[in-house]
Amino acid sequence: MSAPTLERPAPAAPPPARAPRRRPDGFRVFGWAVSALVCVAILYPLVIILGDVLGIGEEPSMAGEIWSEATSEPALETLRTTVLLVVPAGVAALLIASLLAWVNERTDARIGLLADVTPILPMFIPPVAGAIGWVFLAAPSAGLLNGAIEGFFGLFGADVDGPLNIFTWQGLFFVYVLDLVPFAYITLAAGFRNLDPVAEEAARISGAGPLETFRRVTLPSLGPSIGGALLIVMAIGFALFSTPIVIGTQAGVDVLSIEVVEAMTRSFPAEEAKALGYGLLLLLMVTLAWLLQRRFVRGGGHATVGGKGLNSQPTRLGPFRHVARAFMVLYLLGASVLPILALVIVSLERFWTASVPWGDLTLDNYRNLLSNAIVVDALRNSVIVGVCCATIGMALAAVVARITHGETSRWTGVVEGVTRVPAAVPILVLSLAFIAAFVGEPFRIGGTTLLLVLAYTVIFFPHAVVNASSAYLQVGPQLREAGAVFGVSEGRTFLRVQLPLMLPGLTSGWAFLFVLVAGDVTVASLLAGTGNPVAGFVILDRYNTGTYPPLAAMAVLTTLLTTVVVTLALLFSRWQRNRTTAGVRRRAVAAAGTPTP
Amino acid sequence: MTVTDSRPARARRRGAEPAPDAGRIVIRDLRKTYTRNDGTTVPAIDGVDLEVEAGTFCVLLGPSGCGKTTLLRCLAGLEEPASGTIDVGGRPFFDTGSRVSLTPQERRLGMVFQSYALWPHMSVEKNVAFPMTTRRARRHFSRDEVRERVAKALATVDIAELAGQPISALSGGQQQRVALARAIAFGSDVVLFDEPLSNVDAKVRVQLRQEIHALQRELGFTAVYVTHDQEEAMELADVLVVLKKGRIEQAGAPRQLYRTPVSRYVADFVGTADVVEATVVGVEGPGLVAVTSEVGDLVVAAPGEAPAAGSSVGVVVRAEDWRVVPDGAAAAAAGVNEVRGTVRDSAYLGAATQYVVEVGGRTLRVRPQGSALLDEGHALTLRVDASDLHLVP
Repeated sequence: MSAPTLERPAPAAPPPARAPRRRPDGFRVFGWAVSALVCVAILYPLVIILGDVLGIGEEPSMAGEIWSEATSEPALETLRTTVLLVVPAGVAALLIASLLAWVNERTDARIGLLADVTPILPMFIPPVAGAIGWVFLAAPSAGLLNGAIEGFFGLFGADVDGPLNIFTWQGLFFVYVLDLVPFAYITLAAGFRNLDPVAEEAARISGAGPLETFRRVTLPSLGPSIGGALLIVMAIGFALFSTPIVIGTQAGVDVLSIEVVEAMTRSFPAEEAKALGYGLLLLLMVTLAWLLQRRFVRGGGHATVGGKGLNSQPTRLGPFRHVARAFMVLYLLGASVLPILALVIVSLERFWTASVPWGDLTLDNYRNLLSNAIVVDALRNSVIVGVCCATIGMALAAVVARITHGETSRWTGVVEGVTRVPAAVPILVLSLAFIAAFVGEPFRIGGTTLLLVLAYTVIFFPHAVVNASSAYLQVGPQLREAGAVFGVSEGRTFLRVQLPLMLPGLTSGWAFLFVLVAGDVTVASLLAGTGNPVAGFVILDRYNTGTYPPLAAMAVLTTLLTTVVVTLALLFSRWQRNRTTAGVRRRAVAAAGTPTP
Repeated sequence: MTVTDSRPARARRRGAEPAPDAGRIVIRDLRKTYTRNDGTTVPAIDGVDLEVEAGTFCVLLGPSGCGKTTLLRCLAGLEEPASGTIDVGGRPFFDTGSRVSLTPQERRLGMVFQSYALWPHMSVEKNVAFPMTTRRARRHFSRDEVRERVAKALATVDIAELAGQPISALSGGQQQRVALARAIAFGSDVVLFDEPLSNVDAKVRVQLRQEIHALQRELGFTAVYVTHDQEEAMELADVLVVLKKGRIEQAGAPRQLYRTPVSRYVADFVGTADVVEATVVGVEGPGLVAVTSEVGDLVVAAPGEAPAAGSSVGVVVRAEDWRVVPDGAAAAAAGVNEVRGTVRDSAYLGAATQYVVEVGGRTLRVRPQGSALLDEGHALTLRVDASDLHLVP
């Protein structure tokens, strides 16, 4: 170190001898204000609907009526049906997801980029499109797969009736599982990624084979992740609406979520008490799942997290590699490729038939759709609402994450709790709350795009917060502390250090939010109408009127829309990540992919 | 390295003599507790009083969990103590009495973090310049001056050629140099070091700590350095502070802690020492105490008040203070402070050989001068000067 001598300057403006205790920092004030605003936006509709239910306003209390609806014989029967469907489907989804996650994160069977994309691909396809796709594939007689099987056996002169029928309990169960796998996968894959492979290497060196290592070291270490994933999946399963409305109603399997919407939309005046009664049961089940999940995670705490060397030799599966890969391909076909293919084929047919008229395909359905003002409006609205909600949601969530994880105050726990409330309340119940709060006086914004933006932002805010928090935690606290010690204000540190480093994570969160919003049918079923149509509203409408090829075309358009936006966002996120932190060792942080309240 | 006095330069900048105690740290009765998950509270810092004179190198030493890092973070303002006062250069940083608590931004110290904490999306240059481009600092530094300072700081730590590189392209040692440059470029009176060398390899570690020491001497800032490596601590410290369970066990010059540790804990933590259990027999002479110990009768230097006869004490003896008495001399009657033992194990350390010698049912570590090779099983006589022995309670 032979070098010019440095001189130490006078310290920048010395502070007053008696500074008040921790002067409020401008950015902190801003952050807390944003957090407070978000909490109010979340709590207000819930408080209003609670007030209505308890009869605090002018209306008499509905509590008694709701309770008798909730405890009525048909309601309990529906509850039983729902539990018997969702719990097995959740367990099955978890098994498939843990296998996929292990194969992708820890073994040599992974197939490059495909491995990362395959399991979460279905997440970026609107669930309603997937469900409709399976109807086209496996409906009795007219299902494309049935047609294909009949044709295949026809070659040998056998006359076989198509064996598949999606409109059964089994069919519904199957599509439920497909819907739920990605949610379980995200939580589990994060768990795997954060589990230091050294623990597994040690087990292998101690003489345990790959499967034994998986069973005795990997699985127990992932305990909290697995418990969390199971209950997250169940909570989502209970609230699922798109699949049961498409398949369940025809299969004669009535679940709670369907009954809520039917009560609100099928009769006039709406049977509010019935909707709320069934909604109450839904709320109870979801809350139960979350409570168990929290217990599970707290009881665990044995997820070891290592900071370094997260790139170790994958487990060699030998010949089983091909089995694992075949399984993955099968999953890819079932969850994404086949239903989308079916949608595309049917959308090109003049009418839906099992034997595809390959010579007589047409784009007429698309032409008709795109010349329909409401459809065009709906697509445009979906883009606008999706972009608005995703952007507003992630921006707010980034600030909230900074407050809840960067501040040491009792109130951070309150903010964290409140921002996760929407995840604990079924989407349908939340939608009812928004109707109660904003359709009447004083806001009167029923049937407007504004209401949709507000509702979607609040309803999916837990997803935004979870993604923003995990992005925030990945940056690590020391970079902020370094900023503080070197005199960089909190606001500037946030803008110049934390935000740029969070951007890749925020962008993928944005993409996820966009799909949730643009592909949604649940909120749309209650809050959208001809005045503020969105894609989901049109899809439900077409389904109810039974015009299948245009329905397929609409589902294809919606899927295309979300796919394009998501691809762009993820490419941008990838580019950002490479640009800002190429090769930087990131702090491994336990981060769940789905919100827990 | 050219070592010149930086004080006149500083005086010119300010247009007046700098406060003589800029960078003097005074900590009084500092306390901080943590609450465990089960609700019990643990004192992390338990009544620490510490004064560090301006321009000295203070090292906080202790095992993990002794509170040294917490103390450093309280000084930086990254954690808020429960009570007490922190005063740096006459500025109150923290005072529960008058409710003062400056933010880290207002304290403007330099700091080198254990994990470097470099901002990964900025180049080397930007990292070093960033602290000088804040709104408050911009009034003091022109654009040109910032550039000049960055160049100087990078040259000082020998990485001038890396200025335009992204952080991710650097090795661990280079990253640590960037962190060092960032900490000194602003010219704070106090620079904090949080185990800065624990992530670099041994060779680089030795070199960097010499450079840190030279840098501190040249720039004259007050350094507070946290480490659990006693060798590092001895080499760097003007003032060595040994912490135990959130309290200062002993503070002083390294030599003082080495020769006259106040407790077994300090003796054990600084250097290679054995503590022999003993009972005081009586006063042997002026400043000398006779004890009977596990390894035989010893005469121990005890400046100050001698402990009462019959009390239990520990006798601290350093491995390198033992002399091997030649066999011929030992044949005569056993002299004062001579013990007989058998070599049980040896380790070649390069400069010396360390033997494990069994004496009276326990083992002592012995690192004799000279290169006489002793085989295992070899019986020998060891001698130690009374002035090299030290009593601890």
